Amino acid sequence: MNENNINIDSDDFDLIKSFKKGNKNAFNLIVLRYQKKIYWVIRKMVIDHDDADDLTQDVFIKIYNTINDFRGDSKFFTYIYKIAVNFSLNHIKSKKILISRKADFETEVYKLKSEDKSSDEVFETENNQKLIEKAILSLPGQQRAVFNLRFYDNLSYEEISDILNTSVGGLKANYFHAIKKIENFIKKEKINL
Amino acid sequence: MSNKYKNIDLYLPDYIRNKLTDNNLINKIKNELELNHSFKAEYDNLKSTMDFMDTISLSKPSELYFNSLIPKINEKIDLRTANKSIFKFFISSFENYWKYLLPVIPVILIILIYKIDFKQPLNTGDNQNQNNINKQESLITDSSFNSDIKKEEFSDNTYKDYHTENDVFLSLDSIKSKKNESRISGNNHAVSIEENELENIDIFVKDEEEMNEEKEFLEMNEENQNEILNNLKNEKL
Repeated sequence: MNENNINIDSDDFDLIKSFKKGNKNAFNLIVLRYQKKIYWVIRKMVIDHDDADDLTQDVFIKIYNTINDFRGDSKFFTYIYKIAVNFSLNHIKSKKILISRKADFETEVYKLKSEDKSSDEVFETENNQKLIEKAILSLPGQQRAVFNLRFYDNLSYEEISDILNTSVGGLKANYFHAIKKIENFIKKEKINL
Repeated sequence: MSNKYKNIDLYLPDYIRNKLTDNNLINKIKNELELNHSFKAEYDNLKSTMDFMDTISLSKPSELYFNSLIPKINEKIDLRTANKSIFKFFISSFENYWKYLLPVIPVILIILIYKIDFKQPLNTGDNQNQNNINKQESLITDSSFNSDIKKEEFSDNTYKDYHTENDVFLSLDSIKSKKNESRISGNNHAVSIEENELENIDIFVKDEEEMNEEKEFLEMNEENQNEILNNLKNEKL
């Protein structure tokens, strides 16, 4: 395919090929195609929007710099997800203490909002959002990644196995235990309220 | 828990979301749900949690956010590329000079080390005099020195040639004070050597006094000279 003929509907491999030839517009089309998916993969891992924003940009910069290493052995989205999940896991490891402190802060906000009952529906939705965020944050990094990729992104165990370099059997157990932990966390939080 | 239900509970999340494709496994779960009440309770709990997670999503960023993402990424890429090119420029600029700089650096280092460790003042006239004084002072202050070397130093005529009388008296005072210090510290050997040296210096000072007296004698008139000579004769000196 001629590099001038590429557009948003072009195949991943055509975009990559064009970008490798020096067409920067091809890279912009790759970003446009995957930006929402990558943002949400990261966002569900780190929860905070600002962190997710920084990491999303870093992931695409990494892709920009290492696209020549991609040989097409696996699907391109698996390659991108792998980078996004690894960046998120590294971020979780480095910010572990900060996240736990932030969770404490969010608990405070959560309690303050419970006193303001001007709009019951808004209040309930916001509270439930916070509850889910806290429940996801309570999971260990690897388990969080398995849960998000399976529950929200509907990836198969084989695809998750490619991204995380773990066995499919282990992933099934990880996914089940992640949901059980979330269940227990929500139960505890509701009792405390 | 998993062993309790022969590990089929691990497939419950996928069963709830209709993602199981293995018919055998689906039938096993269905049977267990009908017969086993605790398994059914487990299923209900998981289903309500997953439904809750499904209905509530995380707060979404503004619509503008995704429109501004590409320019932000390109800006960062350009910035990093510029930084890299500056670094590359520095590396390439110095690349040609390395082959000259590398052999020169050890030579400069050797010279610097030599300068620091073996730095000596030049032996000019004034420095030589100062050296002689320093040598004597160091010999006096060091009570464990070799006496032979010390005697040799004091018999050196350069001392007499280059120093005024005041210098000698200053040295004399310092020697006396050092002698006292040596006595206090109980180093008798050092004290005896220092006494010999004091005698040498005293003789030298008397010669100068005699010369002055002789000069005074010659400047006197004849009567006074005769009177002094007669007195000396009477005293049989």
